[in-house]
Amino acid sequence: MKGRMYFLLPVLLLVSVFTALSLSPNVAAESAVPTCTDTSLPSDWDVQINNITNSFNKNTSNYVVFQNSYFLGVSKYVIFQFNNNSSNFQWDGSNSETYLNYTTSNSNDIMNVFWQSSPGSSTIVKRSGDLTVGTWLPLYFPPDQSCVKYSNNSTYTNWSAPQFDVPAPPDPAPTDIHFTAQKQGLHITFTGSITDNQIIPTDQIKWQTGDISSLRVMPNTTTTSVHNPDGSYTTTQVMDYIYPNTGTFAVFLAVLDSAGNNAMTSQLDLNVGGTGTASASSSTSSNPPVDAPICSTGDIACYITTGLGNLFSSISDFFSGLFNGISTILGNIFSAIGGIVSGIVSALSDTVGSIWSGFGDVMSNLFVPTGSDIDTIFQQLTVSQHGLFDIITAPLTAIQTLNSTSCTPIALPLPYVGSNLSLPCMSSWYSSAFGEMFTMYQLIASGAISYWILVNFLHRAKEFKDPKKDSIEVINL
Amino acid sequence: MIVAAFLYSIVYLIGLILAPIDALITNYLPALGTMLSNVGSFISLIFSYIGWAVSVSGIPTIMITVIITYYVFILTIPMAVYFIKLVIHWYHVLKP
Repeated sequence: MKGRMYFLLPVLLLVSVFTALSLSPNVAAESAVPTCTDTSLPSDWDVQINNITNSFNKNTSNYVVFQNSYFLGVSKYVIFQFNNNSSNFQWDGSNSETYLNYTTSNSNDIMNVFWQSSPGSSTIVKRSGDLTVGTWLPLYFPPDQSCVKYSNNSTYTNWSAPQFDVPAPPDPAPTDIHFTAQKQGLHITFTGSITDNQIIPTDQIKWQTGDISSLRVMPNTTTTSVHNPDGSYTTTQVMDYIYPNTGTFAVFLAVLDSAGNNAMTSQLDLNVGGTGTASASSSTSSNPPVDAPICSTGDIACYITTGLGNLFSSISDFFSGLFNGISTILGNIFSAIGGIVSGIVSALSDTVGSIWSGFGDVMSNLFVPTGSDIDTIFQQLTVSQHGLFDIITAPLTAIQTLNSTSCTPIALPLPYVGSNLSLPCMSSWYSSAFGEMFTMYQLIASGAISYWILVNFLHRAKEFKDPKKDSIEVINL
Repeated sequence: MIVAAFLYSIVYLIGLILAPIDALITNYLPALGTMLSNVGSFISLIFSYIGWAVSVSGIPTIMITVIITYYVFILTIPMAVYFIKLVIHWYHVLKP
């Protein structure tokens, strides 16, 4: 009995940990918006920020780069390029979006705004074109990334250590939200579409699939945004989900505002099972789910019940994923083995057929010779590199090859797969993977081989000197 | 280098011996010649993977050369001694 209790202790500990972990997202408060702790700038910094007037002036740099910013629907590195050192920036935080105003004392100045997928990338994703003086540009800083780093380096490596606070813009509700569900049995492909007057950060799009009663950001989603001609933005998110069983589930797609509240929701009672398409229109639910703690404060029984439920759900998901992975791997292995066996059988079949065909031709040629006179035969008395020669000299050729050849990577075509099995030269891979360990292995292997050869050589030399054990008779001249 | 030259020489001599037989097969039994050539091509294909197999073993190529040299030495010295003895024997038998 005592032993059983000791066995239960770590299990209870694990349950407690899992319970705490599974409950933590529900009971924890919303993460606070980061606050910039240091908005001062080094004296040699090229861009000066004025937090009071929401503006900054640049001195001599022709580049100002913003990290973690949204610009015209793209969350990338936004680069402002000037061609005049006296050009200045100003932004207005009172609008629904943070606008940048480009001002200059020289009306001939031109400013380009473009953004790239990564710092220093030579590929320009989009380009605004040449902007005239006084043009307002919508530059949106996400609420959870208000500490925007910036750089005045054309290679974007000199990121500012101090950061500056950008005023969080108001967060209006979206104007439309709807989604469709493409059914293939338990596998459902959801496609959500949200139209808003501003770019919607992806972490504010949440789903409730119905089998799990919580509004959450789903993994393995694909999100794209387009800028509509009327100035609005349409964000599309595609999400694949596999239900554990058939049935009717209440599915919600919600967009949360910066405070974590539902701005707008779309609801669909989805009948899982079978095929077809179901769609949910905008704002069909007047009582959307709330991303709130499941349990009220102090409800220990709710905590334990919910925690255990999440724990078993996690274990179930884990084993389900594990078995799915194993099943997929085994399926691929058996498929590959089947392809290889089929290829070998096919090759053997072709070879046997060729041999029988060859013997048939040989027998027919034996009785009906087709060769010319004997001179032709002797004219061909050269060392040929084919036929009987290759077979008889195969061992010698193998030794010769072993002595002189170098490694070339192998690409074996896999049947039915449509791709090659690439086998790289392993020495270079060993070197990169094991480094000094591989060098040590080579040293030890070389030492062992050298020792073995030396011992054998001395042994044979000793036998050579011993007349009784000498298999080679001493030359008797 | 010496081992390579030695092997080339042996292969060339065997080639000289087999050349008439190969020519006969090519002229009078072309199908058999084709079949033998295909078998030889298959062997060559197998040999083309030797370098990769050596790289899998991780053994330095210099040690492979040492092993081959050792075996060539061990297997050819007795043969050379035997031939020298044979020549001397023939000399004793044939001398006037």
